[in-house]
Amino acid sequence: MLEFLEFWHNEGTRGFVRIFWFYFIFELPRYILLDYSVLMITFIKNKTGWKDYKIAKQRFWSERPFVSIIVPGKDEGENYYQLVSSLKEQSYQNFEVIVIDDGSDDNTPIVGRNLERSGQIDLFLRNEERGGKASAANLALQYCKGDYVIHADADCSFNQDAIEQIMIPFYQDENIGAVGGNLMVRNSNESLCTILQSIEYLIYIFVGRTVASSLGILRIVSGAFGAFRKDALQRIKGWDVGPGLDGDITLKIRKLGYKVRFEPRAVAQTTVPDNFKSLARQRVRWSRSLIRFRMRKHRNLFVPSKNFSLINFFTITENIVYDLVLNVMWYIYMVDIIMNFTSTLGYVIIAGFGLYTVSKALEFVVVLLISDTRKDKLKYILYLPAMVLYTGYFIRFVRTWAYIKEYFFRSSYKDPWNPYKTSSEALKIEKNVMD
Amino acid sequence: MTLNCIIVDDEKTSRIAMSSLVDHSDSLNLVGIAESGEQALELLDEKQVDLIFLDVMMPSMSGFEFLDEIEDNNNVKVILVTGKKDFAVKAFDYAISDYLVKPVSRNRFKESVQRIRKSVSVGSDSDFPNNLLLLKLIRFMHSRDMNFLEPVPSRKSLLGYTYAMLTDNLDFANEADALDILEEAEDNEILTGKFVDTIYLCNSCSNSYLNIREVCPNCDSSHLVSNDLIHHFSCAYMGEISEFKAAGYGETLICPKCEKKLKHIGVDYDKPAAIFNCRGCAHSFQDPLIRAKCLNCGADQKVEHLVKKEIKRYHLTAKGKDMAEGNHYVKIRNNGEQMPDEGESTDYFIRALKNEIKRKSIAEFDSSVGMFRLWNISELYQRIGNAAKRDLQKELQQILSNDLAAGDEITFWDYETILVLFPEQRKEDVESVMHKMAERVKELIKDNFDDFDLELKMAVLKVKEDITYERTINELLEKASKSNV
Repeated sequence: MLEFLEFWHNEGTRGFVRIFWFYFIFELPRYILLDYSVLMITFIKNKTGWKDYKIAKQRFWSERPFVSIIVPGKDEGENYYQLVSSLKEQSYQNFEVIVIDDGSDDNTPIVGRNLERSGQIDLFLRNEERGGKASAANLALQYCKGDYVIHADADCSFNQDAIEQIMIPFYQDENIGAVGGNLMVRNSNESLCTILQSIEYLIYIFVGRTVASSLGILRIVSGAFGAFRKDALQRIKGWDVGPGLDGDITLKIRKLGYKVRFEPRAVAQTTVPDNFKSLARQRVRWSRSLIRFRMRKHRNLFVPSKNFSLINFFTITENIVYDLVLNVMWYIYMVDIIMNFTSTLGYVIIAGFGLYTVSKALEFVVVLLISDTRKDKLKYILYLPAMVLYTGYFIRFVRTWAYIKEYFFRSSYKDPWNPYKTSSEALKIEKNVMD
Repeated sequence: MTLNCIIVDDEKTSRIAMSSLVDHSDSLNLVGIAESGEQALELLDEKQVDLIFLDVMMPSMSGFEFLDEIEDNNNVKVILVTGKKDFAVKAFDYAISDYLVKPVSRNRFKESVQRIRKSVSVGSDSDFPNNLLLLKLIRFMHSRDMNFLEPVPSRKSLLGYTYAMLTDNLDFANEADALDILEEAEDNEILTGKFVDTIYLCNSCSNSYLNIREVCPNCDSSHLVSNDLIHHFSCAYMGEISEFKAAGYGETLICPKCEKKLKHIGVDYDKPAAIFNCRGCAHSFQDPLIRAKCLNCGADQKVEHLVKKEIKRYHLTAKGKDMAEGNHYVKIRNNGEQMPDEGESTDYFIRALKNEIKRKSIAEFDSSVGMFRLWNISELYQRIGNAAKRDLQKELQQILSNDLAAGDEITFWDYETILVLFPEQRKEDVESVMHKMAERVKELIKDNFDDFDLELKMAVLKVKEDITYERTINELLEKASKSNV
């Protein structure tokens, strides 16, 4: 203990910053300083923008637009009931529900048909042959009657005012083409794994996307709960082959010149994987889309052409720098530490753990500051040290693994999440574009 | 009861004279005239005949030779009509029913027919026409040694199948009664049936000639077109084939999203589903309703609400043969339009209510009477048809009775109104029982017809000595119509 303190006394502030340069150069400015400054701006904006929000809300209610909620999915029959009952409870009711069964193998068609016949969903369509999520969403889009389309996952349920809240931003700014909803973990008390994900969703979705949205660099409207102008979707003719199609379509909408917003008040609850193994599998799928869509398909965002937009350039650059470049750079940093501090590695690790815990706590303070209800979130403070290991190592390793597989092997095209027929055709197109 | 008769005579003048007598009789129905014994035999095979006016002196086959031919048929009564009295003794040997001498006087004719009618109606029940039809049928089968009564497919019949002797004797509109009669006969072991076919009948007129087709679940229009859906793999676009055709030329399909030509089904595109488009209301859907339109009465009904019946071929049992010979008689139930014991139970209810009013003037106690009005149930009745309507009412009465005490009375006042009498029970207690009953009714309706929302109204009154039963019921009707459950 004494030696530990002596070591750090000798290193001094300079040495501390030298050792944790990775943190001080990249992570502190991005996750702490940026969050706090944006928080300040948002806070001031909200104070002054409150009237603006109220006017938008009034306009929304007086116009009462017809909204189409589309729910594509496979083998989701067991979730329909919960989904439908949470939709029945919505404060805003002028909507239709279109459910697409993408070639389910279970009793989904029976459940869906019954709900359709009893009028609880407006349209239930089934593809006898599975075509993948994008094609299912595109089929639904064909029969949407609303001016706005909300894409939802069947395993989600919605807070009572979720539909109303996700619609209001469209009335705040006409140039908004898509609004992302806030996701929270429904099964947070199930295991350590789900608790850590609850905290992660709060920090990275709730706060992270609020910040990105204020900066205008939001790059994803999550498929689980996102609203779109139908005319925008029709212009780009719907979704392209996934996985990661929600991030892809967000970029396509941004390319059309629309703004994309995150609405933290519109809350959907989702069930997350309850063990680390299936969590890892889910994250590999998500992370691969960074390579597939942003590095490859949307490369032209980097190219200064007549459609070049600085904000779109930043959006994708930020994403690539923070999720990919830093992921690689972290390993260089590790080598630096191990090589230069071999004998005192233990001290560095302990201090690092302390530093990151403090940093996580600072991030979590933002969550508490912008939340309406804080009491239920206080218990998560105890898990913040575990969060350091979760995001610092678990998520990082999973990502690296996903990037390598996708970069070198294009593994997403082999993912059984999509039928082989669509992936192989999508791959052909991409290769043509590259050549 | 009328008797089907034929006249057999070779002389034209006699035939005219006899048919004029027959025409003037209310109890006779002339089903044929024969000029010879041979012709008469043919008629007997074709028609249900109860009585024959038979001439004796005919050229090719005499009356007695004819009687020899039909010896086995002991269901047909025969009246000999002849110019000579000499055959009277011989006639006794043939056990004929009566003997008329030409020229036949009107009075003698009447008397004779009267006698025959009496002898025929012994062992039959003129109140139940179905009973009589059955009797005719089995006599017909037995006398002709018919092993099987076969259903004969017929486009002109209401059921699509005819049964000799049975459907012939029923009006087109009532032909379905034949099935009830046969069913009853089978239950009573007069006939045994073997399955031949299943038929579905209109629930309001029992017609089998139905136009069954897919209709739009939104507007019930049958003006639908179906379209294949195409999934283009490479860009994930999905749309109706017509869109791909519109973007292409001729039969070439071009993707409206990525403008690529589709090449090979299963390789770069497939047709994972089809969809209906309604020309009536522009609704698109995959799951159409199947409705049957009756080509007789025009009722358009969901196929689930059609009446399902079995068509069988029937065999006469030993018991049936016994009955045909008149040794044994089985009464079958009459299947009328009325609700089960409707009249009786309503009369009984009124008596009980009157009694309660009278009792009230003598003794000191509280009795109550309640009413349910199934306000919009006629919509449902219309939808499900007559047979299902009777079943539903039976079931309603049954579940309502579950909550009643021993002395309570319940009846259907009309098709929409249920009356319940609670002797010696206070209004407050009765109200809670009535609420429970209302819940059950609603549950029953909801369980069976989940797309129908029953509007139920109810009222409870104290029985008062100075208010007549008519006024009590009128007050209930009025009070209930203003209520809301």
